[in-house]
Amino acid sequence: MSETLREALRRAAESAPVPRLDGQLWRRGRRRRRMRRAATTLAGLLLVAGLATLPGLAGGGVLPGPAQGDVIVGSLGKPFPWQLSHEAGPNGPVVAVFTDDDTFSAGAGVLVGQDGSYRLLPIDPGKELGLVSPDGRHLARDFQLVDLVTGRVGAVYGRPLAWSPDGRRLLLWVDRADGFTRQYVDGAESDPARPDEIVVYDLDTDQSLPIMNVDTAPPVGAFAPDGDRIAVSYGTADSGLHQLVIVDDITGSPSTSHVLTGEQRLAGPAAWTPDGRSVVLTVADGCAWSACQARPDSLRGWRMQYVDAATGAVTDEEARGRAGLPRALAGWRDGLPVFVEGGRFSPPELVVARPGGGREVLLAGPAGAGELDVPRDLVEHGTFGVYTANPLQAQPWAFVGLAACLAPPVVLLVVLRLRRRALRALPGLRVGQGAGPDDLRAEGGDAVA
Amino acid sequence: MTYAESFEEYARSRLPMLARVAYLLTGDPYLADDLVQLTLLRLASRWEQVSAAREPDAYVRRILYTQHVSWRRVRREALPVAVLPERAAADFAGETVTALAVREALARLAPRQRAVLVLRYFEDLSEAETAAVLGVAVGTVKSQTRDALARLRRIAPELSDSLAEVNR
Repeated sequence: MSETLREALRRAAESAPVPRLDGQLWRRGRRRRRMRRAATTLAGLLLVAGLATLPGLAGGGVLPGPAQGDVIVGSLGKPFPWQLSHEAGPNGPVVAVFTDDDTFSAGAGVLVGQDGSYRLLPIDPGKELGLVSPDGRHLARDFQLVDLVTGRVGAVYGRPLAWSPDGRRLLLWVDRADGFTRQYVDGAESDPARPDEIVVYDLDTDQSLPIMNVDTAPPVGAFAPDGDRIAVSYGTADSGLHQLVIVDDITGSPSTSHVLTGEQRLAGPAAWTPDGRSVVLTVADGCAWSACQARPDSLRGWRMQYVDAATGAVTDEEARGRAGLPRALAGWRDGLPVFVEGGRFSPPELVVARPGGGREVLLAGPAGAGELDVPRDLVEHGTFGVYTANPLQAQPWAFVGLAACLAPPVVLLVVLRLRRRALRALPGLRVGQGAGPDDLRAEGGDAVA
Repeated sequence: MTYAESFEEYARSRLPMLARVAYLLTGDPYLADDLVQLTLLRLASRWEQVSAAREPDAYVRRILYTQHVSWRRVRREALPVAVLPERAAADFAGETVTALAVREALARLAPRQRAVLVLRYFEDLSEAETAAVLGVAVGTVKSQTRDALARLRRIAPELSDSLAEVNR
């Protein structure tokens, strides 16, 4: 039916030059084969490495909260190493902040938002996570005030000790070793030659009010519920000066002071009782607190003492030998103190200290966590759920890395599949079958005329 | 027989025909030589599997045509040859003039249109077989063939008699 075109094509092809067979062709083909196999092996290794790493990382991402009888305890899961940073997507107000020393060898802060989102906050070596404000909207760090809602970072001239109950003022410790010289609201200039200072920083006016000088570090402080009085403990028993001072934060005049032993310390930022009449101390049984921190096994138990703010009278609670290692008194829930507890090798927990010595866990931190802080409003009035990190809330480099790992083997598989399918579909005809049987098997390198 | 020997035997047996198809596809003796060398190179890199499948021709045809369609790759991976290929002596007979006209007209077609015509009317493959080689649908082969023939009529009216036979 188309003999003329066929004949014309055949004649046109007959003038084709026949190339000589390159003697190096086989060797080049072998080289090409080796390179292809090396690329395939590399892609496979990348895929295996990626898949092998992923479950391990993901497995550490979620840890169920411990059960406590029939009570469902709130719990915090671990973040993923590729979790989105707070700088890239602020998630405040937060329900909890903690450090994850297990996943991040260099240490990293983890912010858990009210929507359950996780964000990472870098922490410089040797620095602490900081204190979260009562409403969970700010995080006070050494010399920084982080707005957890907007991500804006402001400056504060000192190290945070406590938030006021209304969240508008900060109790700061100005360490002379930090080298700050600052003009205060009363006109006094902070002098590096003077001892360390305790100041109250007002967020609304951006002014600092000096309260008292302290000679030895590190201090612990707490605002009274009325916000007008402050309790500060400073010094160590070893140095011969370890005392609790209660001062008016406006006049700076001490109302009472009490010498502390090495087994006593101010309970934490919420150390004032809700009625504002007493300050809580935690008392270690079996070791001084400085020794207990280093050797938790030496701590046989602990108890609370109430120091009357007006008279300085000390009253022991009835319970003895409380379990756990109290880190800080974080708030009061239904009139009962709530502590952040946890040792060096046990994850931190938010625990209600029952009058008889019992403990009720409100929120359990993940294994490997170091510090834990919860907004005081939530400690006192909130409820806690089970919080787990979403692996898809990741930093951009994570998606790029994942694509780089998965793309080569996936593309390779697709190509191989397509090629195999195409080969199966190919007709089993010989090359040039339509050009005549004589030409098909022609030998030699000359043109076929 | 080693793989190297079997490959060389196969390559030698197919070399003339591969050269003709490549020449029709490229319209240029040097590009045709590049195309053949590249096809054989890729064949050598997979000779174990291809020869085991007992259908090396199908694989070779697939490489040759797909490589031709992707012109850029052909040019980038062009392989130098030590000896320039020989060319046949000119023949001014009437049939040969027609053949030259066809070759020049083919050169003005798109690569895939050229491939379709060579597969259909030189290699004498069916539409389904042509589609399988090029990895396209049968409908695409039909439309490409129709378009290629129409274009040939436009650019080479002197071939209208030859092409008229095709439409019957």
